[in-house]
Amino acid sequence: MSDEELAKDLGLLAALTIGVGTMIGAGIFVLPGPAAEVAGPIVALSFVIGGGISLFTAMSASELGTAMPKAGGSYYYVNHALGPLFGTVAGMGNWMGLAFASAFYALGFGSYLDVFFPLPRIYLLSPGQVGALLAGAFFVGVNYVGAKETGRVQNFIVISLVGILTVFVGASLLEADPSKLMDFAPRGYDAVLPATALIFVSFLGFVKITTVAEELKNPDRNLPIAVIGSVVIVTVIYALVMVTMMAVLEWDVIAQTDTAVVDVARVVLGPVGASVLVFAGLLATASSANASILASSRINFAMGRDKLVSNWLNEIHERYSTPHRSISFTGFLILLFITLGDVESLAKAGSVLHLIVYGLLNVALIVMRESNAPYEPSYTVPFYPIVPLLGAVTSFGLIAFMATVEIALSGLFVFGAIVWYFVYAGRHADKEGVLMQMLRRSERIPESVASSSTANPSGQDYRVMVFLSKPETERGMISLASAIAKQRGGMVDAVHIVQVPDQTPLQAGAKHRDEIDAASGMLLESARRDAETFGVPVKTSTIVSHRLYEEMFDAAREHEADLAVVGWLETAHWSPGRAEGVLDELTRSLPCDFLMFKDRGYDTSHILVPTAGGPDSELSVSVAKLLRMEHDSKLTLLNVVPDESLRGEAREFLNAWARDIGIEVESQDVDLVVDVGDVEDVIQERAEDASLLLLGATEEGLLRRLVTGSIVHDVVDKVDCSVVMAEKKRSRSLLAKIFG
Amino acid sequence: MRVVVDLSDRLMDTIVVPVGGKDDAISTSESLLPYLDETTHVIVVYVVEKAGGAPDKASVEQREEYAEDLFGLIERKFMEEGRDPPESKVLYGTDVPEAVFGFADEAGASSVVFVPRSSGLLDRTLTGDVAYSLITENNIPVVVLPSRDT
Repeated sequence: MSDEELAKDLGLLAALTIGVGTMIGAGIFVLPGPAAEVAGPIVALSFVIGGGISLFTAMSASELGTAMPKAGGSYYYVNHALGPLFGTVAGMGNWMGLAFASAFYALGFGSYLDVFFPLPRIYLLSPGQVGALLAGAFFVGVNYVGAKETGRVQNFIVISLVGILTVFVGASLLEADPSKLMDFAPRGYDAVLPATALIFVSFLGFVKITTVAEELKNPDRNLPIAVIGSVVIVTVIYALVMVTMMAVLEWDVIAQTDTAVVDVARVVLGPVGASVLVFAGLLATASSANASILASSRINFAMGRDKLVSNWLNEIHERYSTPHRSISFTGFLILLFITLGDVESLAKAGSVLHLIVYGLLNVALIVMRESNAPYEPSYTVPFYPIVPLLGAVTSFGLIAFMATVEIALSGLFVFGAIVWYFVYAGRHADKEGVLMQMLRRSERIPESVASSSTANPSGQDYRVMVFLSKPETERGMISLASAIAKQRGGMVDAVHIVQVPDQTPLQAGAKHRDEIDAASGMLLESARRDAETFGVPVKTSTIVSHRLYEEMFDAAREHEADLAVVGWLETAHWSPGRAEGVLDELTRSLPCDFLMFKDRGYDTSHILVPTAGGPDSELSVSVAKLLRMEHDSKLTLLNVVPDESLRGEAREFLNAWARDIGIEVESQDVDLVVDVGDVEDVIQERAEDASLLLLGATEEGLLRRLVTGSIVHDVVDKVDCSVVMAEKKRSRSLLAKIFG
Repeated sequence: MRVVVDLSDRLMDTIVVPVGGKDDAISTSESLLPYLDETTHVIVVYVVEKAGGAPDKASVEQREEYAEDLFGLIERKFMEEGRDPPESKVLYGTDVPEAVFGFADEAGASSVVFVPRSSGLLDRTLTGDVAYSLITENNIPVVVLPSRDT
């Protein structure tokens, strides 16, 4: 078996059991009593409505999950799409929601345990709470140590549960007395939605499948089936169980008890049946609590990776290899909630927080679809955008039917998450949401990050990416990048893109990982050393891909580079037919500023920048300015005019323009030159004294013209010095995006 | 007739060294380095323990990152001693010794070298006695190095 197969070992059944196992614990075994109290037999309809709301979100979660099978699930999608502020809210909400839900499941477990072994009342704690605390501590302990057997037991539990419940429904049907359902809506139809709000905690579980998406076999197929399938399965079971239970015992009898299932079972299956159902209740609530604790540590990890929480929390235990701090901390919260809360308020608080996450998740889907960020789900929701819109509206809408206390409590947690964002997460987060990129890209005028010092006030995040290919050009490119990064107070992100031929599957490419790693390791190590001589922070990585150029653009976008340094593109590598099509699409929007380096030695002693002014030359001049600051280079700004009469005007313009950009024109080693003649000839002549020629792009798009061969290669080939071509970040206008 | 084989040469030809945690990575490097020949090919491995069809105790990505941290620690120890960094590899398996020996076999290793971690009865009961399994379930020679802190 390959590593890939070994790492991804969750099949469809395992995935389904995570969903079904988490959900079934609560709805059937804990809530019939309180729910019957609120609405009577019609509560079956509440379960169907709850299932419907969940189904919209399940479809959206499936689409997002197949596009991004990452640990952390819903948190990850929201953070990725909507950015770290919403990411913090979703992550914290999901985490706290799971802690509330776990406390609720543990309380359910406690009341079933109390049926078996009458538990003592300790001070203010009810016997159910005592049982819950014992159970909670036990589940946390099991996860702390990381017994791998728990997972396998879970599969067994869920299958037994479905079996037991099937028998239970069947037996209840035989005893059912439809006349008991005559008073179907004793509290009126208005009670249906508040009852839905109460029982919604029964549906928290399907999204948990996405938190382990990275471990699923064939997630493209199994994830949607498991997520959507588990919602459908539990909805059917819930509705059937509710109707049949209330056809056996009157709803007002059921409303009096915490373990209604057991009372019904006693009637239809006798004392043995009742014991089996108690046992099932223990298993079900235990599996729900266990799965929730497990899921919460995944969310912590995903948040830690995005730097929204300290990595201290995600430290792996030396011996157990478990995220022990995350589990202990969540465990502490669970025990606290058990001590303070009651079944209903815990259930609702857990639901409100989850509903917020679900609503955001649906919004995240819409953002991903509307943006042009890389996004390739293999499952797509039907009737877009109706499904995610309904998912968002119904999720947020159901919150309105909760009690004020729970809404206020959850509001407090959301507020807490926002405060956390401003005091911690926002400063550390290194990812920007797709939404933000979308908003920025739709601005008509591209900002030049390199030229203006206000565009990136902190400077902290200024990221210069270097795409390395060959060892020979590594030093020059890294030096260029480091000099700029140093002056901008930013960092260098060196990436080695290894291109494997189309015929080689990436999987097989990955098998040669060791060889690639060795070559890459050496290249990146020298890159690191070279960058460190400049004293700039440096990060290195390797990307294996079929598509060199596309990958470059994607990586620049994903790493949120401000500036990318690439080697001279060799047009010979392109078969004309393919190149044009691909590059045409690509270069219509550049994800960041680009510098293309023709390396004839990194010598910055005398930089020549030919310019005709205008925003497009700004990048090349500001790069020259930064290099000058780093290396005290001599700088020549050159403007070429066709005839003598324009000389005066040109000089005036050049002077004013250079001042605007912040070049010290009075300085000894800055020359402003206006020459008359043919542009190419003049540049060539002037370049004889220069060590580096910095060319700006023109309207047409430099990369594209270069690759399609329309740029005059002559200049570059005729001069002897190194050449840097600069092209600014560019976006297609909003109109072009819509009508293009 | 007796055939005398000098095991010591061959044992340290290509070695697979499993590590389980940060402290273990450091103490293993310290114990291992004095025994290495110039030519010993060292492959450090970390096993991501899988539940085999159920959710794991920790995220796979999380433990892969953890493995990289461990490898980094070892690399530094090696470089401090003026050696080239060892090769490293993340393995996956439901059973740690099985994954280690399976890989060692594939890599044509001459031995598996490890430093047992001192552990109490409770830990051994909870996590299984990996050290014991390593020396009893092997298909190639196993070298047990003394821990330097004892």
